[in-house]
Amino acid sequence: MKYVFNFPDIGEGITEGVIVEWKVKVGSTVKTGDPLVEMETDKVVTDIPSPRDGTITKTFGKEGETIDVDSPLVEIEIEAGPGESPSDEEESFGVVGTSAPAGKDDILPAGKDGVRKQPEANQSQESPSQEKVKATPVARNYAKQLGVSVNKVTGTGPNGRVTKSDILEYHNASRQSTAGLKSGTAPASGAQASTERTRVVQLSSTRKTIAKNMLNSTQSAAHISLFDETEISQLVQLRERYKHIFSEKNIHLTYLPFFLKALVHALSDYPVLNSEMDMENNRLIYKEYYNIGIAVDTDEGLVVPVIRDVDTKDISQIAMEIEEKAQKARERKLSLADFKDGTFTVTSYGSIGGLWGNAIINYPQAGILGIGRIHQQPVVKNAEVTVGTVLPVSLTIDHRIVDGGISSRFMNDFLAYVSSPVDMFIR
Amino acid sequence: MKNMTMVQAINNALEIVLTENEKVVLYGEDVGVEGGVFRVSAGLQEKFGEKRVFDSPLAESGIAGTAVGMAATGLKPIIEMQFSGFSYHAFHQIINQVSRIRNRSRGRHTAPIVIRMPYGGGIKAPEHHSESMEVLYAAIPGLKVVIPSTPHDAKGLLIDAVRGEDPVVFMEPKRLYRSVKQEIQEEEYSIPIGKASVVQEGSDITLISYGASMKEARKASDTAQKKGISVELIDIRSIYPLDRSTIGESVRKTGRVLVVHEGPESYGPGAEVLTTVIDEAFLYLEAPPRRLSGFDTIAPYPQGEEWYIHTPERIVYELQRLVEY
Repeated sequence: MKYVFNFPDIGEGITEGVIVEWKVKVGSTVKTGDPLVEMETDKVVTDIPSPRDGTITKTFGKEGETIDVDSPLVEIEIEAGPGESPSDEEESFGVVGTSAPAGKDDILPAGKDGVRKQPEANQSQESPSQEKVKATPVARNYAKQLGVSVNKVTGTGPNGRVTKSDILEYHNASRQSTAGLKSGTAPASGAQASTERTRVVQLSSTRKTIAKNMLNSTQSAAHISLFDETEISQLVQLRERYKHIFSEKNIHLTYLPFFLKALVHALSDYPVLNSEMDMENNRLIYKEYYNIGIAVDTDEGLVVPVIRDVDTKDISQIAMEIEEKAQKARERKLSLADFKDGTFTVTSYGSIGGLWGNAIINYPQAGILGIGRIHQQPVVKNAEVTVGTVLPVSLTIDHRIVDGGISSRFMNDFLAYVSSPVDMFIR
Repeated sequence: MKNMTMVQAINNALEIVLTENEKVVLYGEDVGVEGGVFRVSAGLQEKFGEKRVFDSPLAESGIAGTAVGMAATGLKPIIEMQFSGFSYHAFHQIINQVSRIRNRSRGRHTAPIVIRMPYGGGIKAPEHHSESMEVLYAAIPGLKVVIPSTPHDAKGLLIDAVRGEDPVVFMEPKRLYRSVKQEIQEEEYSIPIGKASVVQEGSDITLISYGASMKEARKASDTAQKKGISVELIDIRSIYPLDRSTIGESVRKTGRVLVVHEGPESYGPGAEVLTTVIDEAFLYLEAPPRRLSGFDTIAPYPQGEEWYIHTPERIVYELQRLVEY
C-alpha cells in the first residue's frame, strides 16, 4: 500500500521549507523515525523523520526547492492494513490484464447530461474582483514586476485591452496616493539576472526572515537610542574570581550572564520596558516573566535564541545556557521554540568590535540593549585620573511605549547594577 | 436508477440501440458467444440472435471493410476492435474508406459506423494492449473520436454515436471499465458528441482531461481544493470535435490551464487543447498553458506502468506551480 507523507508543520506558523538534503532516495528502506530529508525553514534546519516503516517509492522536490506545508514529501510503500478484497465475480472478468474493481470510494456522482433536469437554483455569481481583464502575457508580467494587480487596471487599448501604459499610469497613481507610506513594492526595473560584472544570489530563508523582521520593526516601532558608559572594575574582579571556579566545572564565564542578570533587575524596576504595545486595542501588555533574547552571529546570519526566565536562574545556569544556545545556533540546530516568547533582547556587538551601536528592536519588544567593547581608558576618580575598565552601552527603545525620561532612568539603573554588582543582592 | 460500472453501462446502451433500431448489428472478435473479452457485449447474442450480434474472424481490416459495405447499404454496424493496438490493421479501411464515404460520394452516402475499442494502460496488460493513441484517429478528417470517463457518459455518448449519420471512433478506457461505479438511468438517454463536461466549477485554474486520466484528475482536483486552490475540472469527452467554447470560456475565467492525458506528449491532444486555449483566451492568461502527458516512449510493460501513468500528486504539483506562477 502506498502512503503519501506530506511535509508537516513542524512549528508554529511555518508555511514552507527549503529542501537542504535528501537522506533517502527512491528504493531506500526506512523505519519510523529515520531521517527522510533535511529541511530549512525560517531560521531552523531540521531533519524530518519518517512516520512509517517501509520503502520509499517517490520523493517530491529537489534539493534547493521550496515546498509548502501539507504538500507531498515522500511516498512510502507500507504493509497494507486489513482491507476489503473484491469479490471473486468482480475479479474474474477480463482475459487480458487485471482490471481493478470499483471499491467503496469509487462511486462517481450521478451525471446529468442528456437526462431531463430539475430546474436548478441560480449558480452563485463570480465576484467582480475575480474577473480577468484582457491583457497580453507581456503586460501581465509587466504588472507583476511593478507589483500591480493587473485585473484592477482599466484597459484603454484595442478591445479594452490593458496596455503597458495603462499599468504604468495605474502604478504611478497608486504610488502617489500612498505617498511613501508603503514600501515593499517591486522595483520598476524588474528582476535582474547575473551579468559579467554582477552576481545575483537568491536569499536564504534566514536572510529573508531577517530582512522581513528588520523592515517590519523599523516600520512599526518608533526607534530612539541613547548611549552611556560606566566603569566596571568591581564586575571585572567578580568575574575574575569566579572564572577559575567555573572553569573547573567546564563553564566558560563571560560578562554576558552578569549583564542579563543586571538587565532583569533593571527591567523589574521599570516594568514598562518589559512590555509590548498592542496599538490595535489601545493597550500595553506587561510580561511578568523575563525571557531575554541574545543575538548570535552565525555564518548564515543573525539569530536570536531566547534564555528563558533569567530572573529565576543563577549565573552558572545562565552561562551554560548561553553557551549551549550559541553553539546550537552556529550548528543551526535551534528549534522554533528556542526563538519564541522573548521579552527583551541583548546584542553584544562589542565582543567583535565597536563601542556604540544603533540596534534595531526585536519587534514587538520594547527595547534592545547593545553591549559595546569593554576597554581600559583614563577615568577620573576622586579628582584623580586613573586607569579604569569601561563598558559602553547603547539602548534603543520604542518611543511609542516609553519616553526618553524613563529610558534614561532605566539606563542609569542598569549601569548602576553593572558597576556595583553587589547591589543586585541588596536593592 | 441503478449503480453500474462502465462495462454495464455500455452493455445497457448496446441493448437499447439494438432494441430501438433493427438495422443495428454488433460484431467483432469474441463479441458474440463470449460477449467480448471484457464482457461488454455479454448476453446480447442470446437476446438478439446470431444475425445481429456475432463473432468475426481475427481480421480487423475485414471487420472494418465489411462495415463500410453494410453502412453504405443501410445497416448500422457497431464493430469492436478487441484492443486499440489491434486496430492498426484496419487503418486502410478506416482512413481510406470509412472517413471518406460522405465526401467521396458528395453526400449521397454516409458511413454511420461506430468503431468501439478499449484503449489505455493501467491493467497490467502487454504494451500493445496498453497504449493511448487516440490522436491517430483524431487527426483523420471525417472521424469523430469520443472517450468517456464515467458510466453515465459512456452510455449517453454511445447512444448518440449510434444514432448519428457519421462514423465515430468510440474509445473505452479499460482501466475504468470496472474501477468506478455510478448511479445511472436504465432508460435511454443520449449526450451530444462534441460537448465537454464541466465536472466541477472553480476559479483559479482549469484542469482539462478525459478518459482514464480523469480518475487521477478528479483526485488531484479534490486535493488541490483542500489546499485552497479552486479548480475548474473539465472532461472534454470528445477528442474530435473539440468543444472550443467551453474550454475558452473556462480559461478566460481562470487564466490558467493544465491539460492531462495518458498518451505521448509530442503532437498529442494536449498540444491541440493548448492551441485552442491560445486562440480563445490569450489575453486572459496568468500563467503559461501547460500539459502533463505520457512520455514519448512506447507504452511500458506492466512493471513500468506505475511510472508512466501520472499520479494525482504529480497533477497537484503542476497545479500548484501554475497557480503560484
